[in-house]
Amino acid sequence: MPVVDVRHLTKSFCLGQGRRVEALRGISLQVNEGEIFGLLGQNGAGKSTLVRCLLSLCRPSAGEAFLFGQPAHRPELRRSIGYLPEDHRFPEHHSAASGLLFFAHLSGLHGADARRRVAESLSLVGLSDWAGAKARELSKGLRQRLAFAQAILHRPKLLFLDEPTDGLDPLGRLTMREVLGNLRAQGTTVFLNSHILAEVEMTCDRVLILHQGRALREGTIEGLTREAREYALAVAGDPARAMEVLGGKFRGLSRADQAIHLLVDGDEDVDRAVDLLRAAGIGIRSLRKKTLEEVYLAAIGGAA
Amino acid sequence: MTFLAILRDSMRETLDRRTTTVLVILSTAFVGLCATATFERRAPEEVYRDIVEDLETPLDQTARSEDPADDPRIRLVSIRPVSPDDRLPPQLAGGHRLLLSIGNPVAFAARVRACLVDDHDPTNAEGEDYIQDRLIRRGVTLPLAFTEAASLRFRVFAKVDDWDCVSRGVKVSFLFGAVPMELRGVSFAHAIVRIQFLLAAFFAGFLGMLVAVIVTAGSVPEMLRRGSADLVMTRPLSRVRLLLYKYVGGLLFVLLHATYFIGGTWAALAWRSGWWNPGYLGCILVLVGVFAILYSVSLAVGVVSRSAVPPILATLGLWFTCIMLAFFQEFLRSGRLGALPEGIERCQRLVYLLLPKAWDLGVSVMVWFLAFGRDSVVLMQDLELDRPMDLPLILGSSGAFVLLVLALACWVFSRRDY
Repeated sequence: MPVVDVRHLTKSFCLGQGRRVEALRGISLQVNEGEIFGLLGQNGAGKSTLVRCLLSLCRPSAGEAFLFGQPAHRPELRRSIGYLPEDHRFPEHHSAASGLLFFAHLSGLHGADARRRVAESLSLVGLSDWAGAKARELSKGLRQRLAFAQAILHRPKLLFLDEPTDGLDPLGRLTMREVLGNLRAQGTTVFLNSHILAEVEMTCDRVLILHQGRALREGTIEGLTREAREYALAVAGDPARAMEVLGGKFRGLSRADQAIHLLVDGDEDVDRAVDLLRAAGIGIRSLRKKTLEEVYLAAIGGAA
Repeated sequence: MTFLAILRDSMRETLDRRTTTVLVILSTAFVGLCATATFERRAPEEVYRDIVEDLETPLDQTARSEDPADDPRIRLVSIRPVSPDDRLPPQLAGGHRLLLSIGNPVAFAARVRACLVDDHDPTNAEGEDYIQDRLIRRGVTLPLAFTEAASLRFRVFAKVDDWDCVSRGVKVSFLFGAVPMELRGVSFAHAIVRIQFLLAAFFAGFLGMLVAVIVTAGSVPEMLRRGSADLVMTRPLSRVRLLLYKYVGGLLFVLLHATYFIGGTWAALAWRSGWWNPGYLGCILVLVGVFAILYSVSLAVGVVSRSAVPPILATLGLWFTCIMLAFFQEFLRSGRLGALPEGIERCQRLVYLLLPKAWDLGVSVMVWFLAFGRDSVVLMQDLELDRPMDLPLILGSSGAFVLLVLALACWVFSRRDY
């Protein structure tokens, strides 16, 4: 049974004066237990709207959404769900610890158990020293960590993260990745929205690319990048000569500055290209497969 | 537990704004002021002299006149304790003998005639009844009046059983006697009740309520701001429960403040006066009841507008409308407005019926509580608030209004996108 099951979900918003915008157009997806699922898309693609529909912050115009096999709108389901919103506003009248305790109580934790979880969460995100500080006294990065702590403090089975690394320094991002890794090891399912594609590539098992409310591509990171079968070659010396050597022997060949983009039919084509260049005395400085970002841009470009 | 968490959060929010601290300081100042009140009982001779002086002042509005020719001018000529030579019934033992003179017999007769059922020249006995009735209404227990027709005088034998209830039986002052308070025609009990009414109806019921409306108006819109709503509404708690918890949290905020203010001033006044009027504590319920009406509107408008200003304006608008309607209703009842077109009267009655009775609840029911164990009609006359109170209508229409507004707010809240 998938943890998240979305079927033909549509959401339109009224902008006033009879104008409507279709934020989601018949989205279907499934996320399995223990997966880290990434949602990619431009601003306004519908990523946050999809998450908000799953969390019942928005009512879908059509379609169905199920979490743990039950209709997503049931409040009791949220006992097993954590959410880090993009534009969160941690209550400013609370200190980090008291605010987390408030959310722990709202999530159904009580007494010593709640206090222990608060301490654990603060420690996990590296905020133990800031437990008594008011939320308004924290920097943007620390507030982001605090919001992440509130999302995980009740040990949810399903975690929605909307731009989780926004405002974090590199060390903070590393901590976040480590925590996500631990959560995955514990069987937590993670639903991740992010603009930082490198982040998604490093973290996610599967991704869905959304564009203007429609699902463009879906698959594993490896599957999507393998499917592209495109490599970038950086050669020593004149790239024009390398183009001459490889020209006409492969499915596709193009040049961008010093890099040569090679479209191949299989991994053996990569070996053949390397052999040809070495035989012609051309040195190879780097060889890399096309990144998720390039796949994403190609998908968006194709749709546009 | 969830409810307590939301309640604690609301309290923390108000504490963070320093509002609660300011309110507690102000309440403490009032409690302190009440603790400096002095209630000095006066000698019977002084009290009778002032009561007779007050007899010129009609108790009921309809008999009041600005024309000096209408002034019956009753004067106290002499006063002494009753003696065995007076040969009075034993019940009047320990009482006083008063000799009253009538300065203007025509005006006095007109005043007596106004109190008679049919229009005729009053007899001596009816004049005596008039004097006796006036004295009884000022707390004198056993007055017996006899006419001395030739000299236009009345001999009155009077006795007071409960000096706490007799008019002008007490001198009130604050700051340990430094600031005297002029309370004409008021008994010891009524003096305390008047102070309690001022504290409960004006300071707590008007000024305090105004502060409470403003302070709590931002609570729901703040919760519904994007980012805040995301954190709270994704918890295992239905939206309806969340909103109702917020509502009850607001009521508890007022309950705590009202309990501190009313309870504190009650204890201070009781300590200084020796009279522990339990009815004053009932004002706590009245204050919470009035706030329950106002906060339901504030909450509903907050859900719709998601901003703090519209709830304040809507709540104050409703409050003002309730007050205006109550006055309009009273003017219609007393005939002071004259005859109005049937359509307007019917419309006013319908609107009055449908809207909550914030004013009636805040004043009439408060006075009813304050007069606990005593004659509320006399008290309301003293406070010039003597008008019929339809308690089932006040509670029924107000309760129905609150339920309807809350149901509407919950319905909107549960259907909106955030």
